[in-house]
Amino acid sequence: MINLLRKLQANSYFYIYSSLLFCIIALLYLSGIYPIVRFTNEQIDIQVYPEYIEVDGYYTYKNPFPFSVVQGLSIPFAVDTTHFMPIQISAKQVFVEEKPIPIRFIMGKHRFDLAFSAGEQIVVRVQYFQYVPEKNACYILTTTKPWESPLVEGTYRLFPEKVRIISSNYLLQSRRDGILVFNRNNFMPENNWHFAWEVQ
Amino acid sequence: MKKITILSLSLLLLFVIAQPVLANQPPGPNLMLSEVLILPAMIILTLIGGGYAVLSRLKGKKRPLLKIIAAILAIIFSAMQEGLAFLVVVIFAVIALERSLKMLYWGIKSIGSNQKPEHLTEAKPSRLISAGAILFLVTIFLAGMAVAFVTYWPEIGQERRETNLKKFLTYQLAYAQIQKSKTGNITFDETVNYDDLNIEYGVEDKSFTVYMLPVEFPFFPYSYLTSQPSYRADETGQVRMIYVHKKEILCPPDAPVVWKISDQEIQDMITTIKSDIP
Repeated sequence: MINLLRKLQANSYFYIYSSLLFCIIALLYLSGIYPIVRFTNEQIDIQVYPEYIEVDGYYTYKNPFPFSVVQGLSIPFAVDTTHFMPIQISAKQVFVEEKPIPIRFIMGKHRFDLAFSAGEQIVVRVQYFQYVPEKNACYILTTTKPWESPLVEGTYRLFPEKVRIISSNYLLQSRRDGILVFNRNNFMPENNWHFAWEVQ
Repeated sequence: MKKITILSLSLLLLFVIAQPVLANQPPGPNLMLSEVLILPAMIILTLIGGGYAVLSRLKGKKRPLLKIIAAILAIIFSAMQEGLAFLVVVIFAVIALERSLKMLYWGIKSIGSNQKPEHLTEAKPSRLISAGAILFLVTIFLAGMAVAFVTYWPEIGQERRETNLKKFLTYQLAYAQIQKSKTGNITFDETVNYDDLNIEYGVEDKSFTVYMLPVEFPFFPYSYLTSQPSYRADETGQVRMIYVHKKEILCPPDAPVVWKISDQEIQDMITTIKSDIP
């Protein structure tokens, strides 16, 4: 092994190819194709109105490394012919400190970056409104897969506002205050969350 | 060797000082893309052009280990702050441009010359010149991308602008209903104005069209790597939107609807207007 390394070091092309390899690995990390930090928890609160939904999501990320890193993130939206592009999209950091996060729409995605210090945990709040006149909506859950490890905990809540929830592909528990909820631990979603409602 | 050691130590010191808590903004994806792609582009095009063979004859088989470590550290730690990342892009671009110009020079010098310098005896001019020229253009494009995106934060305030558009629309629809109940005719309030909105009123204020255009874009051709929403709304209460690459593009009347002011919102606004009247 040592002889092999010495032979490689003697070859100047070794440095060229190792530099290329590093750049490719760095590209994978920095482009977000491979995540640097861990995505551990999410809490999704959705207010359901007759013709639109208001999504309020809390996402927890943790830097597992003993050094600082930056993670690029994008926000996925379920958009098709009946689910329109969301508006009033905003993001802010709510833990450890509270501050707005600027978003940029670049190469077809809403993107933002988070800077983590060593071992830091950050909670991000993302809010948006989506016009859904067909009275059904979808929240994308399967984007957890690229994070490679399941969520430690996920909480998903619907707050009906003058509507009645009539279907959901995840079984919802009804609370006394009218909120519908499902929780999962060690959650690696196989399906997105689809739900529908009717006006009361 | 001594210079490289000093350079590496200086970079390390710089990165240790630059803590993320002091960073005003981590770099955006395009800036990082420039930073990560310039050196691989230089390596690949130098290989294709035969530049490494010329370099090894000129300098011998040097082992640029410290240079590689410095580049790795520069990429990793500059990710903490946009200004640092931009500085690293500029340094990498200067290195790559110098390489491209050298390759062009070697290529031109080895064309048809009977007395070629020793390091160019086996050089192929066409390969050196074409790879050098491509490297020059690629570097300019990647460095230009960093310049275009380093201060590009257009969506700061976008949520407030969209809220203003919805407020304006809701107010006008509520105002029209109040006017209808008073006079029997629908008219809109032409005295209302917002800085962000371009409002056109129809004949006798019986209709209106409002546009909300994008605020800013990076310069061409980088404007095509990003897009901004351009909105249009009218007296129907529907808000339409398309994504555009230029500031002045108006949203067409058949664009997809992204919002519709609900009856409840109009009723809430009527209550607010009436409560504001002394």
